[in-house]
Amino acid sequence: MPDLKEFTRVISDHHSSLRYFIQGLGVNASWVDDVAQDAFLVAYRRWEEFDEVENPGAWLRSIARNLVLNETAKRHRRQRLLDENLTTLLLDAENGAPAAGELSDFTHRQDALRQCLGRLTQKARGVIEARYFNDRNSSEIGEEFSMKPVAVRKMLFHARQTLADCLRTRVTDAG
Amino acid sequence: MQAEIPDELIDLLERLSEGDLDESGRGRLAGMLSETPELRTVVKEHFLMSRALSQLERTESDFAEKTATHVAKIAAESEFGFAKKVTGKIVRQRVAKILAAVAVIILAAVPAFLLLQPEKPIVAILVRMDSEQGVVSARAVKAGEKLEETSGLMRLDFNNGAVIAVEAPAKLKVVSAMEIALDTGKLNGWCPDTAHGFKVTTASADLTDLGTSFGVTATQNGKAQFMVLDGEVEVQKGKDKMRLTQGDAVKASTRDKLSNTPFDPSDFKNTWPLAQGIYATKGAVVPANPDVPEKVALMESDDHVLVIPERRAVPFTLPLRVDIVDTGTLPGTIPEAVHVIKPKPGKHLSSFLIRYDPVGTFPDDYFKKFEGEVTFDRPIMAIATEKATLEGTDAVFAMGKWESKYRGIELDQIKNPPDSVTLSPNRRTVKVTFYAGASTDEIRVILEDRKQDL
Repeated sequence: MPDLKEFTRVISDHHSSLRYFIQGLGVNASWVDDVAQDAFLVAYRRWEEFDEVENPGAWLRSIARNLVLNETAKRHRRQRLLDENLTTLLLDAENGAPAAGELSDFTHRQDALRQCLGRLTQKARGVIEARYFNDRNSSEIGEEFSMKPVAVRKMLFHARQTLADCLRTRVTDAG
Repeated sequence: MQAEIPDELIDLLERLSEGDLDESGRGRLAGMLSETPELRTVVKEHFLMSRALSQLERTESDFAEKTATHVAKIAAESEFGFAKKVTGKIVRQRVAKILAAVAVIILAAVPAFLLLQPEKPIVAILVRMDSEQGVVSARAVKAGEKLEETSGLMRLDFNNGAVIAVEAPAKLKVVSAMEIALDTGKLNGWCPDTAHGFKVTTASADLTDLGTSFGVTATQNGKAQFMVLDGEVEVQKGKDKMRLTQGDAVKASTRDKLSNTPFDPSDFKNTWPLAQGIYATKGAVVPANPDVPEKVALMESDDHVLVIPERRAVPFTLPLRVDIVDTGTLPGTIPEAVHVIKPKPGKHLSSFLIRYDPVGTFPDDYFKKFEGEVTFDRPIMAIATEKATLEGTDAVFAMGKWESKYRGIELDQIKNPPDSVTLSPNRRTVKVTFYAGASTDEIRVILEDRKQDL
């Protein structure tokens, strides 16, 4: 079993990217931390493998990937996943490593994300804030902004895409 | 290059994220991602960006310390705790704890085992329908998966575009993206260019699609029947081969040679509409009976409004004049106007007529109200409701020549309220109210094909 300090350091180094990885597989946002904890529990029990592991992040992702794979077979626990078919397809496409140009961990880019948010139109920023800061759904946001829910959903999607492109540009510029 | 992102995918994804997507929508979303793998990257990135945004204004507490302490505590309870407490416990408790410990070990070991196994590819989406043909569930199917159902209807939407509708009781195996082994049951298939060569094997003979719509039945005693509703297939038993074109049927058994048999597609009354893209009908609206396209195009009924499949996968290369492009009701929320839709190179369309045409003729003052609806497997792009727009789109979609003094619907009738057409908010369902009898009523529903329908 690992020393608690060492184990805490490993979690500290990898929990953020691991939780992004898990959410990227279509795990319900409210269950992401739970699945991440399960992954660290499996890692704790298989700690004897850790010294042999060249890439701890990839090792943890493979553990998490298989925990999520197990979830797709548990119908009674499907609330952990947004949709088991979707997760199966995302798992199918997942090769364990982020592709070139793929955004995988935003933890250290929060300032950049705030700046990118500032570049959105006022309405798009308001819709994003209502959704992500105030937990409002598209119908509620639509009432506030005099928009049809379907238009709100479209605006949310395109705003996120604009933000992702903005972040990618900043990463490229910084690199 | 980033994949083109359909508006439908955007809406489905957002509704899923809000917890507001039904089984049909989930199946549709999975189908879109299955047919266009590049979209999975798009979806993943949006999940990540959603997380980034939801975390932006939240202070991250000491997740690492809390998790480390929690994990260490659980690990200690499960293993060391067991060793301390086991002495003195009754055997029943001991067995239970051993089982629990074994379960923990298996839980930890199975993922590693699975990691080493080559996973079989997902080749199709299985959509199950209830007795009224509403979608009750949808899930991915991998190559090699066996399916056995005692009742109901199901549809397999293959990634390569093949569509197979099955009526239970049925037992079959999805061998690969290009083959089904039908043990017992009946099925209807439709294969686009991308799935030509698709095979249905049975105990007595095998069918190979050559661009077509076909039906296959197989019984427990090894007998099978194959028939072609449109296009061409090859049926083979050993060295014995037969080419069938539309209107042909052959029977096979494990002992006898292939032989011709009368063409009777009535067995496929339930599966044929499903393979054509009709998910459900209600009220006076019902699917036309299965037959070759030229006969289906001329079907009549005194008692029902028929949903008649027309051409499928037509390249969208010419502008279309239509009457309905938005959701709502005509007359009512949809203004009376003709819209011109510009062609979209690379896109393909399919159409269905929704028509009341009685077998006989009625007196000039005979009118009856027909009300009902039909739900399709893909979104409706537009509807033609007037004689001019119907005739204008005949050249593109019609399967047979249709001449009638009365075409379309009547929005201004002397003796009756107006006919009406409603396109649902999700663009999948059309509801019609026709006052017909002395006259025929018809509309043409035009759907935009998904990539997998081609």
